[in-house]
Amino acid sequence: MRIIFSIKRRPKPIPYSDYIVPIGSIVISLVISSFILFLSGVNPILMFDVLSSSLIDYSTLRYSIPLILCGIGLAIAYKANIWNIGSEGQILAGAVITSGLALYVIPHDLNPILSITILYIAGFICGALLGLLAGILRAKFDVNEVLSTLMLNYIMMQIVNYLVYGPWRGVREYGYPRSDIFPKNVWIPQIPRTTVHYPTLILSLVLAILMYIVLYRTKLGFEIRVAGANPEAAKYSGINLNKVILIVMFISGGLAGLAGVGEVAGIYRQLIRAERVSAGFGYTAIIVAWLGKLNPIIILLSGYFIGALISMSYKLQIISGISYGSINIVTGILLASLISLEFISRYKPVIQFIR
Amino acid sequence: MIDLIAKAVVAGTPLLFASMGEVISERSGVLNLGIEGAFVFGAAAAFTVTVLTGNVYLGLIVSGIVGVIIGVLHGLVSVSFRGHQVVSGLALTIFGYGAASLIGKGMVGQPLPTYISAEGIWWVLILFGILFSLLLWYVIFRLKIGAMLRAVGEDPHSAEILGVNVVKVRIIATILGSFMIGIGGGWYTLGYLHIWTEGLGIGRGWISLAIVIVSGWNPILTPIFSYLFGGIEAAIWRLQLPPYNVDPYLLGILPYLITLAALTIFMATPLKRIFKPPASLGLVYYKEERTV
Repeated sequence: MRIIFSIKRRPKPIPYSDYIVPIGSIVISLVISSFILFLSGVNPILMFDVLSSSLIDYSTLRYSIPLILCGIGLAIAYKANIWNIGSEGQILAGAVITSGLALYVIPHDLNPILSITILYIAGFICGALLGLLAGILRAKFDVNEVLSTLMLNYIMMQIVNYLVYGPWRGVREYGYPRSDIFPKNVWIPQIPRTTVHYPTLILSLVLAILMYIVLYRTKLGFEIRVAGANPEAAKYSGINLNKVILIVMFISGGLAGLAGVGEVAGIYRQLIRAERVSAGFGYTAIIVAWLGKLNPIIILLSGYFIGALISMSYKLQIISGISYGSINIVTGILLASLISLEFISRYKPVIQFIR
Repeated sequence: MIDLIAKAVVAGTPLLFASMGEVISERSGVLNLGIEGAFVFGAAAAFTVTVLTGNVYLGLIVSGIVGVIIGVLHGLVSVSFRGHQVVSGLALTIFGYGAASLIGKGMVGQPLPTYISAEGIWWVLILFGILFSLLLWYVIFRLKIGAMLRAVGEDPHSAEILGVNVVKVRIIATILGSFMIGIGGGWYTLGYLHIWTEGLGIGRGWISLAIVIVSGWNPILTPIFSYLFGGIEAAIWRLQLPPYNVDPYLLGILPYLITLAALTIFMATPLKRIFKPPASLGLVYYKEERTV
């Protein structure tokens, strides 16, 4: 008796798979992770209760902002089949330039609107240059961008920690590893009584729409999509693949850099340890991009949902004492089931028993 | 000096296990980014089991099992289900972080009842490490089974035509590699650090991945870089004290910078012929959709 596992391509993806796949994977991940949390002593009802309250909460918006910005950037790179996983480092690049400018360069009496605008532009450029570095290595020497961006993440992380423990450590911070508080004119304003820095939120909404238009309504977007879907065809139709690589890495890094500006100038108002600035947003944004089907508009929704999950896990940590890191179980399973379901919607697994 | 070598070997051994495991799976063309998750989860599981049962060897075995679980999932999602290897691997790394954080929660600050005291037997470790890497090199580059493994990683379509079951080889290589990564994670807490804190071991899996890159996917070079990077990790804490006063974070950049430089040099210079990655690394294998 033999068991043969084979795969047949479905003539058409299963109906409504665009909706079934993301919703199904959310359900699967919530079921599995509530079971795991149940085993470690958390009542699943409590988890769903906290999750539903997080879905209508300001703190969710606060986590959604960096996730959406990075998610859109990653989506554009992934559309071109460029596997940027360096958002984490690109966030930090934006955070470093913000802190440097805010602490040492921008005059303390400069108009707030002007100084915040300078920060956004500088953060975008700095993140974009870090992305571009990996892009150049890929375009010129064919260096695998997954590996190079991963290494750049850790290089940036060490640089930030070097700065907060060393030259930039604040003189009024009692020896804690963080810089001084930024002067008030670079504080990105928040909605009162929340931590939602609304200029960044508006920026992320505008950029989502803009990037949607770029991706689906312009020649550049067309080139990006063709380069990703079929590089051979792209080459023969005269699309410069190297140019596409450089452009998507530039945009992708720049958007993550903006997220970094928002984190330090909008939330913490000082540079803190790298693990807390980027806080895994760069990696979690990969899930956001994938759950949003690499479409900037849908990413607004998926970013909001993953933001709610993060908000939920902070609340669960306070209520039931499970560690914050446990959120990663939910998101990890979510991503794995997402790509598995995507496969099943397009292929039919066939199991045959042969005597 | 001997003391520093001993420390480098002890710190490098977990990285050596993990990087040799990753060599096996990457040689078959499967980029296992779950290495970080398997390492951290393995470390947490080994520590927890050892605290609960008082048996170090049981702890190591469990870390291996954890590695196998991650490997099976990665094989299922990225090879059988043809999900993108990067996405699948990162999903498992994120999952591993979460699982480690969940099971290690009650263990913060707990003392290990027993542990492997590796400092005294460092020369056994180095001997074992080198012998093992030689053996792995021999298997991969001189035996038929190794030729099969490399063929699958370089050109799976041709390998399939020559009668190799690509999917099977890739899945077995992924699981075996992930098993060794898990053991590496277990050894990291049981044989080297002997403590547990939240977030322990994070980044070590990526260092092991870096070792694979700078070794040019060749197991014979992995001990050198494992002990070098392990030595940097061990030396960081000594060098930040007087009379050296080197900043630990600037020194911590070194492994990643070396790796990035090596990756670029390997691709940009004639060294490419010896040190290039397997040609199909990270590519999903579609059997029936071949376009000639």
